[in-house]
Amino acid sequence: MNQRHNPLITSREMMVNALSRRRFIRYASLAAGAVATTKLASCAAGSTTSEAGTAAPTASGSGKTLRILSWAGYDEADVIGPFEAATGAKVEFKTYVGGEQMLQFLNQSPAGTFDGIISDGEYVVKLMELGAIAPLNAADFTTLSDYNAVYKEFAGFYQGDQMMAVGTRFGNYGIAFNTKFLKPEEVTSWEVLARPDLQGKVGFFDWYLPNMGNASLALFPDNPNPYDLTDEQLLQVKEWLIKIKPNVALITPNIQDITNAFINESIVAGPVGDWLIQNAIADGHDNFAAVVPQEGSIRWSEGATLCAASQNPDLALEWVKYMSTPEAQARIANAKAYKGLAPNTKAPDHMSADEKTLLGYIPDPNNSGKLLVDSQLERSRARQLPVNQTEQVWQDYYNEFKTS
Amino acid sequence: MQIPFTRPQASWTPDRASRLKYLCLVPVVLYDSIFFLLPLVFLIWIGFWSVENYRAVPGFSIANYSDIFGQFFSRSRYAYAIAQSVWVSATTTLLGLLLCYPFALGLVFLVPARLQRFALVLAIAPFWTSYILRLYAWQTVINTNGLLNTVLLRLGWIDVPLQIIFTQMGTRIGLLHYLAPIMILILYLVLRNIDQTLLRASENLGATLWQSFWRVLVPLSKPGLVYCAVFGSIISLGDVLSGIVLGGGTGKSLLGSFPLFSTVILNEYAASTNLPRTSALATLLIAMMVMILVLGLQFAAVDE
Amino acid sequence: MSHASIAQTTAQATAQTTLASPIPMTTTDLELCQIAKCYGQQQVLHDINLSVKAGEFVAIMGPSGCGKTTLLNIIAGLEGISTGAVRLRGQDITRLPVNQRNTPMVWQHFALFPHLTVRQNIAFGLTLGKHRQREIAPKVQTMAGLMHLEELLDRRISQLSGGQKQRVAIARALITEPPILLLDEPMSALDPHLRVRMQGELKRLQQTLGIAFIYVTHNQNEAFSMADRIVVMNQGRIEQVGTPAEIYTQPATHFVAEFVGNNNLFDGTVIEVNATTVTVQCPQGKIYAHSEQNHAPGDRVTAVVPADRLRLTPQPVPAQNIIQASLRGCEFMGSQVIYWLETATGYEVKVMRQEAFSDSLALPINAELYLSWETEDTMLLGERG
Repeated sequence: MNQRHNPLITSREMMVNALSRRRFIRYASLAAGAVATTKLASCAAGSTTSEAGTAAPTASGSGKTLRILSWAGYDEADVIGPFEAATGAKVEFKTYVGGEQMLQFLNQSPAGTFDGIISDGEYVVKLMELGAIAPLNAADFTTLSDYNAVYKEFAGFYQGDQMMAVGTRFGNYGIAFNTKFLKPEEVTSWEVLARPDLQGKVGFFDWYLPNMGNASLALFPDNPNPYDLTDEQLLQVKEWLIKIKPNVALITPNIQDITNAFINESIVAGPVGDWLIQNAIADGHDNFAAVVPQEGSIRWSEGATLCAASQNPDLALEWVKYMSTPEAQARIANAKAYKGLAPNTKAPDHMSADEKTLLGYIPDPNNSGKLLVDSQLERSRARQLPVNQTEQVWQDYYNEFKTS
Repeated sequence: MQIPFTRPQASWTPDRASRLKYLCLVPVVLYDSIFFLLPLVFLIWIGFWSVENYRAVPGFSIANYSDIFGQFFSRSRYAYAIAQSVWVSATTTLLGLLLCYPFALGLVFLVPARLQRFALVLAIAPFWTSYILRLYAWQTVINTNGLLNTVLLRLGWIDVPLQIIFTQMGTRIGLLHYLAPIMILILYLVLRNIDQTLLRASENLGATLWQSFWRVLVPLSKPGLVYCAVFGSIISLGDVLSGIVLGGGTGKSLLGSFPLFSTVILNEYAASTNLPRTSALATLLIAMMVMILVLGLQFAAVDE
Repeated sequence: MSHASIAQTTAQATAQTTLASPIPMTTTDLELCQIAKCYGQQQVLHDINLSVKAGEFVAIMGPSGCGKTTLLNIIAGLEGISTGAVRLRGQDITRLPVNQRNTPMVWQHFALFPHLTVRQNIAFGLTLGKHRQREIAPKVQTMAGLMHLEELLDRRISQLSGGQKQRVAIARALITEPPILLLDEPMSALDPHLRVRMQGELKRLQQTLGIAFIYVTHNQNEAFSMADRIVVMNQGRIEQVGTPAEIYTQPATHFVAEFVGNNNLFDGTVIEVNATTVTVQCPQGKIYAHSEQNHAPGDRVTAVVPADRLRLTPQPVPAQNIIQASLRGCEFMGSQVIYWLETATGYEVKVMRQEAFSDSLALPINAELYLSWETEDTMLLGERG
């Protein structure tokens, strides 16, 4: 249940999009992606093999093959190439779309098929319950000292005191908007989405967790866990969403639909986050912007885990360690599939100026002395599961919002 | 008047012949069982399971159904989404028939016989292109600043862009483009199989062209029209893509801005680990489809 | 309603519905004048002239592709013509659309509407106009009575036998009380037994109604048993128009003589003509015929001898015409036997005899036999065209 963007979104299509900037190709790739959305999801996310660099294999992994189950982006040559070159190992990826699909792939494959998994915070818990992942020793990860405060000891990656995953990338579901229609100074609060002049101009992801989490923050910004609501508060959250509904033109599980709608000006704003529009900005649509409103926003978190049944545990551990390095995180944050932010604070040192500007590693104009990404991180809350109600109850209220 | 039975006796005994008949049925039964019946039964069965600790547990509980029916008009308001689905599906099917029937008529009666095959291939060619590709192509046409709006604005026919994208009209356009080739093919085949002597006979008995059309051609095309309607409404009910890509997931129709039922099911499936409940929802959708199928077949069979 | 009154109201209806002047006191119901029909470069009908009298049963006969069905379609208005005119009861209907002609057709495969009941099929022609339901119902009932369909009125077409279908087809065509009925090989889809019976019924019906029937067929039995006059067509032309007896006994052309099927044709040259007899030298021997036509010695002619006029004997008998031939085979057709013989010159001769006679013979294959016939049974046709 833990997808940053809903399970139906395919990230691979974005990757292709980024690779080739031509619209036609984007549609062609979308075709593949959205077909996957229906029932054939498993077909869409085929395994890809990254080409290793030409560097002579010298190290421990020489001749070995590592198999990783991951979101798109981790398989890009810029990300995995240096690891392959350094260890001489070959890394094969099976990319998935959504946590449910990740579990499905894992359960359908014989134990030992995969050596490592990139998982969202909530799914780390499920992987632990399944006994699919091995504990990590914090002492192995000297890089952790460079991690930001949130991900140094991120609760979602721990079982009690035991570290189970190491953060690799994160991002928020703040308000993305078109500056042609909304000035940045107008977009400071979630209430902007209720403005009458935005009728039929707002786009949503079709997933209750981030949307209801954001609504919860809009109403109760001081609540430390936006998913910890009384029944009364939950009703208010629903009412808040229903208040927004007349403005909602688009509720889609497909991120590319949202990006297209922004580009085509069919929507003007949406609680979808910066990472979604950053590829479009890189494409030259510099009229797009994103902010985390003053009330805060929900945040997604990806982490690397080690498979308990791995047949190459040493090499797999090397890969998990590699994914915690600033070099690797600089690349995965700038992945072509979609963008993100690095938990390792040294990662920006390995980015170009353009990359840093795009991702927000720039001084926050409203908060001197802080980077924009850091002040946004402070205002964001991790996406979690409902605490006091069942998921179904939340889903039912979400359905009511959609049919209102 | 007794007509003598002149056909030679079959060399096989009826017994052997029927045994062979059953043998020939085996692949059909196997295929249907494996690819249709078994998954369907499984789906219906899972609808009665429950969920414990994020795991689907086999059993027989009608809790899913009582919960779903309990939320027909409140909370999840499934009835709204179902109504939207039925409305969009019915209107799309009707539009499809209104567009495809005249087209097929023209194909059969106006296009010279030697060009018909070619014209038919052209008409159904879109079927071989990717459905999703077509949806995105339509997106570029009906977008707020898409082709259609650009042209209309430039012509001065409209002052503000038409809102077609992210409405159920958009959904219908996508569905129609999917349905049209198949509807045209079905109608073409049915019309081609109509004995054209019957039309000449009708005219010969004094019928005008219009009378021949309504009294003879339409009743004789009824099976084709019914198959198209059944096909169109079932596909429209089941499709999720057009409702999302062109309909925006919560597109506006005369009924209001609701999602389609298929979209609701898809979203619940993707967002929750509650497979049993999703299966129960899907079973409702399938029950609607089966009802349409049964009604349609019954309706089409009257003349046979 | 009596049958006579059907005919009467037919006349009235025609007078009312057509703009023609009151029906002229002519006996001609249908007139085809100088009709030609072309499909692009190909001419399929040449110079067709035909008059059909009121109450006449006319059969149009010919091989497939001779244009007989095209001609019928032209009368019905289902096909246009290149030149010429069609007149029905004195009115020029050449340009009248098919649905205004009231020239109903009984189709080869009946063309009944499968989605309608028998009753609805019969009533079809009436329901198109301004007729009220209460006018239609009794008419359908009367027509059903005439065609013995009362019990079948509520059946679907698929539940009918071939003969029943045909009666429905006829009833449906006659319901508008037309001045003429067109029938396009209506028996071809029927069982042979049924055909003979239907021939009688159809003829009786035609006589009862007193309207003209134009009956297209390639089957001469049907034509000969029902028609008052027969039109023999070939390659888009009319070869001969005449009563069945005329067609049978006096074929006007080689085509007719051959098409009628029972004739043996011997080509030869006239060698002698006297007051009573023409002598023709054929490869098979000398053939004698009555000299009714003007033939002169040296003329190339064809002697036509009907197969049923030939005698067949093992020994020569005293007769003017006698040819030796050997038996090649025989064919039993009910009470008749057809013998196929071959003359010394390799010419095939057909002989039709009654069964009783053949019994007495018991002829072996290849038996040498003698064919003989009377002089008056030989007809002479001019040189082949």
